[in-house]
Amino acid sequence: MDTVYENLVFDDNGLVGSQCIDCKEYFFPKTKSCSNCSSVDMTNKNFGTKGRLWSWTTQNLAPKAPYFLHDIKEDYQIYGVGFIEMPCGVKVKSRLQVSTVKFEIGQRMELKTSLLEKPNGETLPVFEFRIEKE
Amino acid sequence: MERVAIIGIGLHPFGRTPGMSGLDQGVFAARKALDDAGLKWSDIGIAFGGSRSSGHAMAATNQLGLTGLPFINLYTGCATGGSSLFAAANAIKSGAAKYAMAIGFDKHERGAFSPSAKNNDIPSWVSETGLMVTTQFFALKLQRYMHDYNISHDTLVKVAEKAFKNGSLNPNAWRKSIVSYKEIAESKMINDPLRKYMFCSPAEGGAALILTSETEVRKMGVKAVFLEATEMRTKNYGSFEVYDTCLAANIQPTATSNAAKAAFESAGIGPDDIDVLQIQDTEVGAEIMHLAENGFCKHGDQESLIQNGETLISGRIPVNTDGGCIANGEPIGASGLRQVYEICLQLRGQAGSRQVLNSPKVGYTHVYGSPGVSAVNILATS
Repeated sequence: MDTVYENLVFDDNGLVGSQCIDCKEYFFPKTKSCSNCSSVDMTNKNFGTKGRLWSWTTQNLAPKAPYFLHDIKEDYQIYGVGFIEMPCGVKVKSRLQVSTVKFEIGQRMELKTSLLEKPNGETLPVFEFRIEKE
Repeated sequence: MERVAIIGIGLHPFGRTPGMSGLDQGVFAARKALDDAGLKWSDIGIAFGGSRSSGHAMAATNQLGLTGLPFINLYTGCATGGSSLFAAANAIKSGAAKYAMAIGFDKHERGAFSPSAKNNDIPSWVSETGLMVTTQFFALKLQRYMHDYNISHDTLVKVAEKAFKNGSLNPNAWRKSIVSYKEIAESKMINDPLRKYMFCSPAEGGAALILTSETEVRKMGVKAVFLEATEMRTKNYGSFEVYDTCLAANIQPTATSNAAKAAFESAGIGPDDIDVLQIQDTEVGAEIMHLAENGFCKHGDQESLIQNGETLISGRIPVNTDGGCIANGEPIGASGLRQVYEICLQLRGQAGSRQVLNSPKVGYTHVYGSPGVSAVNILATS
């Protein structure tokens, strides 16, 4: 699996975080040490591609810099932000793809890799979750 | 342990003051506090101060006087004022000085804060992909809370309505006009479920407090407000705090709950003994959730509490009588001290048209800041 950016690892097979070898707690993104028990023995953990929506909101205004698309003033695309509860119990903060279906806590969500694109062709890879297709 | 007393309070009005720097506003507040205490700047033996956007707090000594005192700059996000007071109170307890000052000021640019990922040990992709906006945290926490505890949208509007109503009674507030229910409920959506008039905004202002020991108060023969408890906590593992990129499977109580519990234990009283309170209301949901986190009601009871008007100035537990952060705006360095200033006015019976009736005797303040810091105070007249 590719490291996309710094400690961010994902592809269509899942989102990768860390698990503490000592206390078994999970973290996202990958981390060097455990904020629960202070251990430095961490292992990679693939959280998979599916989870449930634990909480959500929408970003109705363009975030300021350093948001990748902060200078795109026209045709601002509202995106969602949520915590996805993964099967192992950890809740991961993620962008959410908005659609005509309203978000509801408990919805089944699936991972979708995507790209933020500027008009000049510059891109930034992102992971997003969307409401699972029936 | 000897009790700590507040013998001087000073404030520069919050809002926008063209022609005055943030530091100027802090100096103004410091001079007001010195006058209130009947002291000179050279009497102050130690000071703790903070500012986010207006430079080093210690630079205020250029205007106040270079007396050589120990002056410590500190910064704990929006909880900076609470931390300055916590440090100053502990300096008095330790006997480090006879008189201590906690001072804070700021002058922020318009618009939301743009927090630095790097300064918070968070990878830069989090902010670059649009996941590090402070207001998102408030909305995510509130959305889940409304779902778990049946808090209505109507209650959110009522909290904002109260803030502007109280602000209209406060000559030092930024927002002094009443905003109608309809205007709040129909204002622009920022982060669902939170709308424009439900948020506080970064602003300007200054505040200062002067502390001494109970022994000194008796010697001076002055009136004082006593700090029955001052506690500060940072986030513990498993709590849901601002900027978190993941949450633990088992969510734990917040830094706020822990600081509140410690303060009540230390003061030997409970939430039912508090007559007037200040609760961090960065937005309406924060006031609602923090009420329960601080122990003033059970989770979910806010719905009936607020619908029944119990948090109004005329209610059973008056909350944010000066309009709180929503009507005053938030100059980060000063905000937590503004809360204590208001409680001192209320306990001294000097709050004018927003005075809580029946002579309140015990007050409470709670401030919250990133990345998960909470400072609370219990104050009493005797």
